[in-house]
Amino acid sequence: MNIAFARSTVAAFAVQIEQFTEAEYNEIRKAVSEAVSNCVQHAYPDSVGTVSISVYIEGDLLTIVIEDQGVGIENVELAKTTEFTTKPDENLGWGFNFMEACMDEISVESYPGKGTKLTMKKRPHANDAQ
Amino acid sequence: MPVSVRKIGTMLVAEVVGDLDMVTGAQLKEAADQMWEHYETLSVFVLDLSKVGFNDSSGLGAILGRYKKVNARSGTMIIVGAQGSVREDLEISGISKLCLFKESLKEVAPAQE
Repeated sequence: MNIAFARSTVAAFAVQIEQFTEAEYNEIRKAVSEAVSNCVQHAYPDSVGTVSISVYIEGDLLTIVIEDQGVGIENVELAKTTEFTTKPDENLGWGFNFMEACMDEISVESYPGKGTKLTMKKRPHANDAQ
Repeated sequence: MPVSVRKIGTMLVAEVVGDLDMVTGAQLKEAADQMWEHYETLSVFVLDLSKVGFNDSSGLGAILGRYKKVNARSGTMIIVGAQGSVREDLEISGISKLCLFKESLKEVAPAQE
Protein backbone atom coordinates (compact mmCIF):
# COMPACT_ATOMS: atom_id res chain seq x y z
CA MET A 1 0.00 0.00 0.00
CA ASN A 2 1.36 3.35 -0.99
CA ILE A 3 -0.42 5.69 1.40
CA ALA A 4 2.83 7.09 2.79
CA PHE A 5 4.19 7.52 -0.75
CA ALA A 6 1.01 9.38 -1.81
CA ARG A 7 1.00 11.89 1.04
CA SER A 8 4.75 12.53 0.87
CA THR A 9 4.70 13.04 -2.89
CA VAL A 10 1.78 15.46 -2.81
CA ALA A 11 3.34 17.44 0.06
CA ALA A 12 6.66 17.56 -1.80
CA PHE A 13 4.90 18.93 -4.88
CA ALA A 14 3.03 21.49 -2.75
CA VAL A 15 6.36 22.90 -1.54
CA GLN A 16 6.34 24.96 -4.74
CA ILE A 17 3.79 27.17 -2.97
CA GLU A 18 6.33 28.61 -0.56
CA GLN A 19 3.84 30.50 1.60
CA PHE A 20 2.45 27.27 3.09
CA THR A 21 3.56 26.85 6.69
CA GLU A 22 4.90 23.60 8.12
CA ALA A 23 1.53 23.09 9.82
CA GLU A 24 -0.22 23.52 6.47
CA TYR A 25 2.05 20.96 4.77
CA ASN A 26 1.11 18.61 7.57
CA GLU A 27 -2.57 19.28 6.89
CA ILE A 28 -2.03 18.48 3.21
CA ARG A 29 -0.33 15.19 4.16
CA LYS A 30 -3.20 14.38 6.48
CA ALA A 31 -5.93 15.13 3.94
CA VAL A 32 -4.23 12.95 1.30
CA SER A 33 -3.71 10.19 3.84
CA GLU A 34 -7.40 10.20 4.76
CA ALA A 35 -8.48 10.21 1.13
CA VAL A 36 -6.19 7.40 0.00
CA SER A 37 -7.00 5.33 3.10
CA ASN A 38 -10.68 5.67 2.18
CA CYS A 39 -9.94 4.36 -1.32
CA VAL A 40 -7.95 1.39 -0.02
CA GLN A 41 -10.50 0.43 2.63
CA HIS A 42 -13.79 1.30 1.02
CA ALA A 43 -13.43 1.71 -2.74
CA TYR A 44 -11.60 -1.58 -3.15
CA PRO A 45 -12.66 -3.60 -0.07
CA ASP A 46 -11.84 -7.03 -1.50
CA SER A 47 -9.58 -6.26 -4.40
CA VAL A 48 -6.49 -4.41 -5.48
CA GLY A 49 -7.20 -1.31 -7.51
CA THR A 50 -5.66 1.86 -8.82
CA VAL A 51 -5.94 5.22 -7.12
CA SER A 52 -4.90 8.11 -9.31
CA ILE A 53 -3.81 11.43 -7.91
CA SER A 54 -3.45 14.67 -9.86
CA VAL A 55 -2.11 17.82 -8.28
CA TYR A 56 -2.35 21.29 -9.80
CA ILE A 57 -0.89 24.60 -8.76
CA GLU A 58 -2.43 27.81 -10.09
CA GLY A 59 -0.88 30.85 -8.41
CA ASP A 60 -1.07 30.02 -4.72
CA LEU A 61 -4.00 27.60 -5.09
CA LEU A 62 -3.28 23.91 -4.60
CA THR A 63 -5.80 21.50 -6.10
CA ILE A 64 -5.62 17.77 -5.41
CA VAL A 65 -7.83 15.34 -7.33
CA ILE A 66 -7.99 11.74 -6.11
CA GLU A 67 -9.90 9.22 -8.20
CA ASP A 68 -10.67 5.54 -7.97
CA GLN A 69 -12.70 3.12 -10.04
CA GLY A 70 -14.02 1.29 -7.01
CA VAL A 71 -17.46 0.55 -5.59
CA GLY A 72 -18.47 4.19 -5.16
CA ILE A 73 -20.37 5.78 -2.30
CA GLU A 74 -24.16 5.28 -2.25
CA ASN A 75 -24.86 8.29 -0.06
CA VAL A 76 -22.11 10.90 0.01
CA GLU A 77 -23.83 13.12 2.58
CA LEU A 78 -24.18 10.19 4.97
CA ALA A 79 -20.55 9.16 4.43
CA LYS A 80 -19.42 12.69 5.33
CA THR A 81 -21.36 12.64 8.60
CA THR A 82 -19.16 12.76 11.68
CA GLU A 83 -18.57 9.33 13.18
CA PHE A 84 -20.38 7.57 10.35
CA THR A 85 -18.42 4.44 9.59
CA THR A 86 -19.11 1.11 8.00
CA LYS A 87 -16.35 -0.47 10.12
CA PRO A 88 -16.97 0.67 13.70
CA ASP A 89 -14.45 -1.64 15.36
CA GLU A 90 -11.36 0.21 14.22
CA ASN A 91 -12.54 3.35 12.46
CA LEU A 92 -13.60 6.62 13.98
CA GLY A 93 -15.56 7.82 10.96
CA TRP A 94 -13.62 11.06 10.96
CA GLY A 95 -11.95 10.78 7.57
CA PHE A 96 -14.09 13.38 5.82
CA ASN A 97 -14.02 15.65 8.89
CA PHE A 98 -10.24 15.59 8.87
CA MET A 99 -10.19 16.38 5.16
CA GLU A 100 -12.61 19.27 5.67
CA ALA A 101 -10.60 20.58 8.62
CA CYS A 102 -7.30 20.34 6.75
CA MET A 103 -8.37 21.79 3.40
CA ASP A 104 -10.31 24.91 2.38
CA GLU A 105 -12.72 23.07 0.13
CA ILE A 106 -13.60 19.49 -0.66
CA SER A 107 -16.08 18.09 -3.13
CA VAL A 108 -17.04 14.50 -3.88
CA GLU A 109 -18.55 13.02 -7.00
CA SER A 110 -19.36 9.36 -6.69
CA TYR A 111 -21.13 6.85 -8.89
CA PRO A 112 -21.97 3.50 -7.28
CA GLY A 113 -20.21 0.74 -9.14
CA LYS A 114 -18.06 3.17 -11.11
CA GLY A 115 -15.92 5.03 -8.64
CA THR A 116 -15.31 8.23 -6.76
CA LYS A 117 -13.63 11.53 -7.57
CA LEU A 118 -12.56 13.71 -4.68
CA THR A 119 -11.36 17.27 -5.26
CA MET A 120 -9.65 19.22 -2.48
CA LYS A 121 -8.36 22.79 -2.59
CA LYS A 122 -6.12 24.78 -0.31
CA ARG A 123 -4.42 28.19 -0.19
CA PRO A 124 -1.80 29.40 2.27
CA HIS A 125 -3.33 31.34 5.14
CA ALA A 126 -0.16 32.86 6.61
CA ASN A 127 -1.09 36.34 5.35
CA ASP A 128 -4.80 36.21 6.15
CA ALA A 129 -4.53 38.39 9.26
CA GLN A 130 -2.69 41.21 7.47
CA MET B 1 9.91 -2.53 11.76
CA PRO B 2 7.97 0.66 12.48
CA VAL B 3 6.09 -1.09 15.31
CA SER B 4 7.61 -3.04 18.20
CA VAL B 5 6.06 -4.45 21.36
CA ARG B 6 7.65 -5.82 24.50
CA LYS B 7 6.55 -6.92 27.95
CA ILE B 8 8.02 -5.39 31.10
CA GLY B 9 6.41 -6.99 34.13
CA THR B 10 2.72 -6.18 33.94
CA MET B 11 3.32 -3.52 31.29
CA LEU B 12 3.05 -3.87 27.57
CA VAL B 13 5.26 -1.27 25.90
CA ALA B 14 4.49 -0.59 22.24
CA GLU B 15 6.64 1.77 20.20
CA VAL B 16 5.78 3.24 16.82
CA VAL B 17 8.48 4.87 14.70
CA GLY B 18 7.57 7.19 11.83
CA ASP B 19 3.96 7.67 10.77
CA LEU B 20 0.91 6.25 12.52
CA ASP B 21 -1.57 5.56 9.74
CA MET B 22 -3.72 2.74 8.38
CA VAL B 23 -0.70 0.56 7.63
CA THR B 24 1.26 0.99 10.86
CA GLY B 25 -2.02 1.18 12.83
CA ALA B 26 -2.87 -2.33 11.60
CA GLN B 27 0.64 -3.50 12.56
CA LEU B 28 0.20 -2.01 16.03
CA LYS B 29 -3.15 -3.75 16.40
CA GLU B 30 -1.79 -7.12 15.37
CA ALA B 31 1.37 -7.06 17.46
CA ALA B 32 -0.10 -5.48 20.59
CA ASP B 33 -3.36 -7.44 20.67
CA GLN B 34 -1.53 -10.72 20.32
CA MET B 35 0.67 -9.97 23.32
CA TRP B 36 -2.12 -8.36 25.36
CA GLU B 37 -4.35 -11.38 24.90
CA HIS B 38 -1.56 -13.88 25.52
CA TYR B 39 -0.58 -12.46 28.93
CA GLU B 40 -3.62 -11.97 31.11
CA THR B 41 -1.48 -10.36 33.82
CA LEU B 42 -0.79 -7.33 31.65
CA SER B 43 -2.62 -4.34 33.09
CA VAL B 44 -0.78 -1.29 31.73
CA PHE B 45 -0.50 -0.44 28.04
CA VAL B 46 2.29 2.02 27.31
CA LEU B 47 2.24 3.52 23.83
CA ASP B 48 5.49 5.29 22.99
CA LEU B 49 4.83 7.93 20.33
CA SER B 50 8.02 9.93 20.88
CA LYS B 51 9.26 8.96 17.39
CA VAL B 52 5.96 9.64 15.62
CA GLY B 53 5.68 12.87 13.67
CA PHE B 54 2.50 12.20 11.73
CA ASN B 55 -0.83 10.52 12.32
CA ASP B 56 -4.20 10.43 10.60
CA SER B 57 -7.67 9.30 11.72
CA SER B 58 -6.79 5.64 11.06
CA GLY B 59 -3.89 6.08 13.49
CA LEU B 60 -6.21 7.54 16.12
CA GLY B 61 -8.63 4.67 15.48
CA ALA B 62 -5.83 2.18 16.16
CA ILE B 63 -5.08 3.88 19.49
CA LEU B 64 -8.74 3.98 20.48
CA GLY B 65 -9.15 0.33 19.51
CA ARG B 66 -6.28 -0.63 21.84
CA TYR B 67 -7.75 1.55 24.60
CA LYS B 68 -10.99 -0.45 24.37
CA LYS B 69 -9.06 -3.69 24.92
CA VAL B 70 -7.21 -2.19 27.88
CA ASN B 71 -10.38 -0.78 29.38
CA ALA B 72 -12.15 -4.13 29.04
CA ARG B 73 -9.52 -5.48 31.45
CA SER B 74 -9.83 -2.38 33.68
CA GLY B 75 -6.25 -1.56 32.73
CA THR B 76 -4.51 1.77 32.22
CA MET B 77 -3.23 3.29 29.01
CA ILE B 78 -0.22 5.59 29.12
CA ILE B 79 0.89 7.58 26.07
CA VAL B 80 4.54 8.60 26.08
CA GLY B 81 6.23 11.43 24.18
CA ALA B 82 3.31 12.62 22.02
CA GLN B 83 4.23 16.01 20.58
CA GLY B 84 3.20 18.64 18.05
CA SER B 85 0.29 17.79 15.78
CA VAL B 86 0.14 14.23 17.16
CA ARG B 87 -0.49 15.59 20.65
CA GLU B 88 -3.05 18.07 19.29
CA ASP B 89 -4.98 15.29 17.58
CA LEU B 90 -5.06 13.25 20.77
CA GLU B 91 -6.52 16.27 22.57
CA ILE B 92 -9.07 17.10 19.86
CA SER B 93 -10.22 13.49 19.58
CA GLY B 94 -10.75 13.18 23.33
CA ILE B 95 -8.32 10.26 23.55
CA SER B 96 -6.23 12.39 25.94
CA LYS B 97 -9.06 12.15 28.49
CA LEU B 98 -8.90 8.36 28.44
CA CYS B 99 -5.23 7.92 29.19
CA LEU B 100 -2.26 9.35 31.04
CA PHE B 101 0.44 11.34 29.31
CA LYS B 102 4.13 11.04 30.14
CA GLU B 103 7.03 12.90 28.57
CA SER B 104 9.42 9.97 28.38
CA LEU B 105 9.59 6.24 28.86
CA LYS B 106 11.94 6.83 31.81
CA GLU B 107 9.04 8.11 33.89
CA VAL B 108 7.13 4.89 33.30
CA ALA B 109 9.90 2.29 33.30
CA PRO B 110 13.03 3.87 34.84
CA ALA B 111 15.40 0.96 34.23
CA GLN B 112 14.46 0.48 30.59
CA GLU B 113 15.95 3.49 28.83
